[in-house]
Amino acid sequence: MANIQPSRTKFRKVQKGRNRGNATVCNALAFGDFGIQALERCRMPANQLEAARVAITRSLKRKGKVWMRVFPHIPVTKKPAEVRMGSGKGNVEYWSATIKPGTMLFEVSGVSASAAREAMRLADSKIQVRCRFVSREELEKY
Amino acid sequence: MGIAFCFSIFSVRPLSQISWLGRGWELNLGTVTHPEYNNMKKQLKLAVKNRDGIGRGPARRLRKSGQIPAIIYGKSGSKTVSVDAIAFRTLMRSKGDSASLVELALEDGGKELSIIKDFQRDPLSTAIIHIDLLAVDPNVEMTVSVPIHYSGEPVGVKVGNGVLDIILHDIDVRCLPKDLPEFIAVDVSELQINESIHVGKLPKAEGVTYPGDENRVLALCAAPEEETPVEETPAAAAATPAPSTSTPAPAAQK
Repeated sequence: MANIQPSRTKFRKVQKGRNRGNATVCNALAFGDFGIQALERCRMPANQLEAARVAITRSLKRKGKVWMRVFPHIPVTKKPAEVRMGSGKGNVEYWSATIKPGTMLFEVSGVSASAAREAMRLADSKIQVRCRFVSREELEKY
Repeated sequence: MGIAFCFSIFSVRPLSQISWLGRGWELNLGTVTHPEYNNMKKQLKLAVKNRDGIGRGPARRLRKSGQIPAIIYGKSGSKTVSVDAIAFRTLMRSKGDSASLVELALEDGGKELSIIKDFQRDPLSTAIIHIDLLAVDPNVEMTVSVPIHYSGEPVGVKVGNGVLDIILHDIDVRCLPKDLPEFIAVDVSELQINESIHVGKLPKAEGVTYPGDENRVLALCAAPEEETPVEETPAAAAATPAPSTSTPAPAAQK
C-alpha cells in the first residue's frame, strides 16, 4: 500500500504538541455532497487514511469523486526496542494527521446516497475514531 | 392523458383539492408548469427580540434558553437581536434550499425586510449557533447568494462512464429584492465528457446579473479516473528516514 506523506519537509522531526478543542476549520462539507466526520480526537496514522481511501474508491467502483480533507503532515518518531533512554530523539516511524472532533475526513460526490453511505461505512471500519455520515441534503433540511 | 384529465375536472374542483396532481405541479392559465421554471419568490416572516448582552457568556445563556443570537446589519447600522430556535427551524424547513426574503417583525412593532446572509453551525451538534441577517432596501440592488439546482444526468455519465463534478453549489447574483430568484435551474443532461458549463451560460433573467468572471465553471463532466498507485518519489524517500533500525542495546550493558 502506498504511503501518504509530505514530499519535502523543512524539519525532519517535530515535537509532539497537544490536540485540544474541536475542529474550527475543515469541519463542514466543502466539495462533495456526502462526507464522513470524526467525532473523536486522535493522531491518525497515514496507513489508516490510505486504507480508508482505498476502501471508499473500491466500494464506489471508481465512480464519483473522492476528496481526502486531511493529510498526514506530522512525523512521529519511535526509539527502537530495548534501547536505553537518551542519545537523542528516535527515528521517524510513521506520518500522522491531527484529528479533532468535527474534522471532515473524506468527501464524495457523483454517487447515490446509499452508495456513499456504504462506502463511508467501510471507511469508518478502517479508522480508529468514531465517525458519522453527513450529507448536504440532510443539513439543508436543518 | 393525465393533463387532459386535469382540464376535464378543472371546472368542478378547485386546484388546491386536486391532490393526485403530485406535489410541485400546478396549472396556470391552461398550461402545466413546474416550479423549477417558475421562480416565484417566497417571503417568510420571523419575529426577533432585542438583546442587550454581547459576547460568549450572554450568547451561551441565550442558546440555553432556546434562543439563537443574531445580528441585523445594513446601511442603517447594526443591531444585535435574538431569534427563537424553533421558529427559525420552521422557517428554514419552509425555505428549503432556496433564496428568499424574510420579513422581520421587530420587538418595537416595526418591520424590516432582510435576507439570511449567513449562519454558523456547531460542527458536532449541527445546531445553528448564530445568524447574520442583512437588512435590504426594496429599491436598492443587493448581492445575494442563490442556490443552483442541477437537473438531469449528463450524457458523459450515462454513456461514457464519466463523473459529474459540481464546482459551484450557489452563486452570487445582483438584483433588486423583488427580482430575487429562489434558485437557478441548470440542466446538465447534454454534457459530454470533458465538457463544462460556465457562468456565462446561465439563464438570463430580467433584472438579475451575475457579478464576477463569466468563465467560472459551474459543473463539468470529467473522464473516469484510473487508479494509479502512488509511487514513492526519491525526494520523499530522502525526506523520510527509514524505520528504526538502530541496534538494540546489548543486555550485558545493563
